[in-house]
This record gives sequence, structure tokens and C-alpha cells, in this order.
Amino acid sequence: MSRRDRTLLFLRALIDADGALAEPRVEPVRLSVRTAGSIPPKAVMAAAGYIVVVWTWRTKPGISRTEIEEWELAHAATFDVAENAPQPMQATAGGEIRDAESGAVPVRRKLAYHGTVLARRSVFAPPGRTLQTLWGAWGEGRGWLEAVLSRAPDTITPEWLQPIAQSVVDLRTRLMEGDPEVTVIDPSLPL
Amino acid sequence: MFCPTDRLDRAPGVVLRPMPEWGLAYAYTRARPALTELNATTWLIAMLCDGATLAEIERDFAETVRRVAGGNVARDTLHRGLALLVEAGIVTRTPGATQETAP
Repeated sequence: MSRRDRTLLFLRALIDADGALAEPRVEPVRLSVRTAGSIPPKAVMAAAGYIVVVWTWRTKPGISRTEIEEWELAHAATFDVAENAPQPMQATAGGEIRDAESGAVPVRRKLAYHGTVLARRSVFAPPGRTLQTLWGAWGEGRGWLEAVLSRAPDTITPEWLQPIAQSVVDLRTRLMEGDPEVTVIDPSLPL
Repeated sequence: MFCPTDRLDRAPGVVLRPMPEWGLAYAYTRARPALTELNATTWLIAMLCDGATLAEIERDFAETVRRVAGGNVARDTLHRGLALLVEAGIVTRTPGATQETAP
């Protein structure tokens, strides 16, 4: 049974359970982007064209937390290359960005990795052992991020992105099953 | 106003993200960009918009909701939902070919 068919069956059961057909509704969502920790303030992120992608994966049966953490360490190391060194952030128009409060120019890698979270249940995934992996990118890094997450590693340029993409492929094939659920947090969305 | 031969599909780049625990789905429209919450009815309609014709969608929608809505109610609800989804940029409409009638 395809994912589409499963979803339609679920919706049929959901609507039947309600006992009535609800009036169609679409409502814009006002996003709240967390700015704590390593993520700079939203206004800075938006001005730089920053984007965060959250992938929620289901681990294969028998995969331990230790194995995930080993992958995480190796994966984080792939980002630590000279070409991806921290640098002052610029707005998408090319101008310098300064923090409104401190006046400082934030320094970021253009492609960043924010870590993983293991959980038995996540609001973004069905019950089960899941792993959330977070990537962030700004400026030209947005295009790199899209390539890393969607293309065959050996086809990606610049070449220093290839080990990063290969690490993601390893995660997908060795530790995870099925396709990940994808959430895109784009701080350019109006709040 | 939609025609039976119109084809309806999710717009390019739209990510439809089911949230089954909450009985709703989120649609991310990269072109705008915006995140939109869909209730179960509009979620169902968006799922059916996979390049099918309006006539096919009407048939599948009526079948799915037949236990809670009659044919006319289902059809009217579907059309209101489609209008909302098209306006939000989640679904695109491709006008169907008009049939020539012989003189």
C-alpha cells in the first residue's frame, strides 16, 4: 500500500470518527524561531538568507544510541574544514550585518550542523525511536545545503561538500529506515 | 469556477507535512514563502490533487466522505476547499481541453 493510500485511509477514519465533514479551512502559521544557543537572532538570520532544515528519521531496529552518537561526531567533523571556516555574516544584498543589541557582526559557518536529538516520541514524528538532525545555512550556503540533502555526493560542487553529503547517505543507509520527515524553518517568513 | 476537465496538482515546491497526531497537515509554499495549516478536509483535498481531473477528484472525495456527507454536500465542500487551496498557492489548476461540438 502506498503512502498516499495509507494517508487517505487515515483521513477517511478521522473524518468518520468526527461524524461530520468539517468546513474547509486554511490558516497561515506564524512561526516562532528559537534564537537561543548557537542560532543567531531571527532578524540576523533573515537578513542573511539563513535557513534551517530539520529531518526526523526513524532508526532501524537494533541501532543503539552509541552508534548514532559515533555517526554524529564523525559527521560534525566533516564540517570542520578550511573552506567552511566561520566568517562574518553578510546580508543577502551583500551589506554587513550588525546585531541590533551589541553592534557586533555575527560570525557563522555558511553551512552549519546543529546536532541530533534522540527521542522515543517527537511531535514531528509518529511514535517510535526517532532522530532529528538539524542543518543550517546562509547566503550561498542555502544552495549547498539543498545539494547536500538531495543529490548524489559525487555530483556535488564544491568538492569539500562531498564528504558531508556522503555522511548523510551513510546515515540514511546504515542507521535509518524509510524516508525522513522534513521541516523547513525559513526565518524570512513573516512572524 | 472549476471545470470537470481541469487538472489540479500541488504547486511546484510545495511540501505537504501530515501531522496525524493533531489531525491536520502543514503546507510549506516555497514560492511565497509561507506555512499554512490545513484541517482534515483541506488536507484530504490537497492529497487528492495529484494531477487528477476535477471529475476524478470529485469522485474520490465523495467516496472518501460518503459516510458523513451526501453527494451534493461533498461536491460543494470540495469546491470551497479547492478555491482556498488555489488562493493559498498550494494547489494549481490547469484548464482542461474544451471539447469541440460538431455543428
